Amino acid sequence: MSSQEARAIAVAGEDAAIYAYGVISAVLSNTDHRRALAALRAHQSWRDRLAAVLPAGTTPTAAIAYDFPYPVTDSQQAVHLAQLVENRLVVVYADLAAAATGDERADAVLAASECATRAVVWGAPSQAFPHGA
Amino acid sequence: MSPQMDQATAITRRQLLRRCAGTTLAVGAVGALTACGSTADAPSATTTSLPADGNLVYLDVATSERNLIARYTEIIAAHPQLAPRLQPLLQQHEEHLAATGVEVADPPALAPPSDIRSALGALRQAELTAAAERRESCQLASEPEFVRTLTFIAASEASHIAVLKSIGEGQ
Repeated sequence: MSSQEARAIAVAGEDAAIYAYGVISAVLSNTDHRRALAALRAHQSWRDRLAAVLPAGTTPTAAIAYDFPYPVTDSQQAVHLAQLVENRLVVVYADLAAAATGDERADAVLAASECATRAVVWGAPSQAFPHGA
Repeated sequence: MSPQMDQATAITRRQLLRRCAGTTLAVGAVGALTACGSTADAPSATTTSLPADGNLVYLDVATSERNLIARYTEIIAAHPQLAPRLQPLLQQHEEHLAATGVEVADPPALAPPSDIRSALGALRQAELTAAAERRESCQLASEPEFVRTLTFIAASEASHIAVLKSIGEGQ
């Protein structure tokens, strides 16, 4: 995989995460709601950073809606989806780190670390090689 | 402390590793590594010469993981009530070590902090250091598949910091 392909996949992954956190934050309240909004902003920030270095015309367009693996209507489902989104993005960023070099690789490792940390903060068990089931 | 010892302790692990470039390492999982050619007198499955640049990174990661394993083991022995929460983290470091395929000796034993909060703080600090070192390892590694593995290890160790923080808040 070229670094540009890996970057486009990461942008698409972040688009999906942003959509998911829109739903997650709507379902959750209080501290969890605020945590979801903070995660949403973090994903928007990474998405914009990645998209900025994609050649014009190659930025993937975000879908209008995404299918979730299950309906997200209560807080337990919302928290579980947040764990899944974060752990799946770790894999996306590990692929980008492997394909990229220099600063872009460093950013990908940092983004993967942030995602794995958020998954654990959402209550997921830590993993030796974090990935979303 | 003798002047020689002062000098010895002033040498960082990383400097030591750089001096070890080109050494032959005992390798457990050859599949994860690139062996140097295959001749009639090729090295056995347990002793393989690694490429010089990869050599240091694999050894560095293995040394760091072996060190974390020692610290967790000591603290679990001193504070067995932490075992249910710490054992999974210890197990994950053992998986990280196995992924390097490199065998390294145990580090010198350290006396674990006698109070739980300090013990958890020591582990948090060790994980912080390890996570930062793994991010550096990612820059030094060249094989994409190893960079990918190192990224997972860096992410795992960053997540351990959050786990240790939540254990500390429960004390």
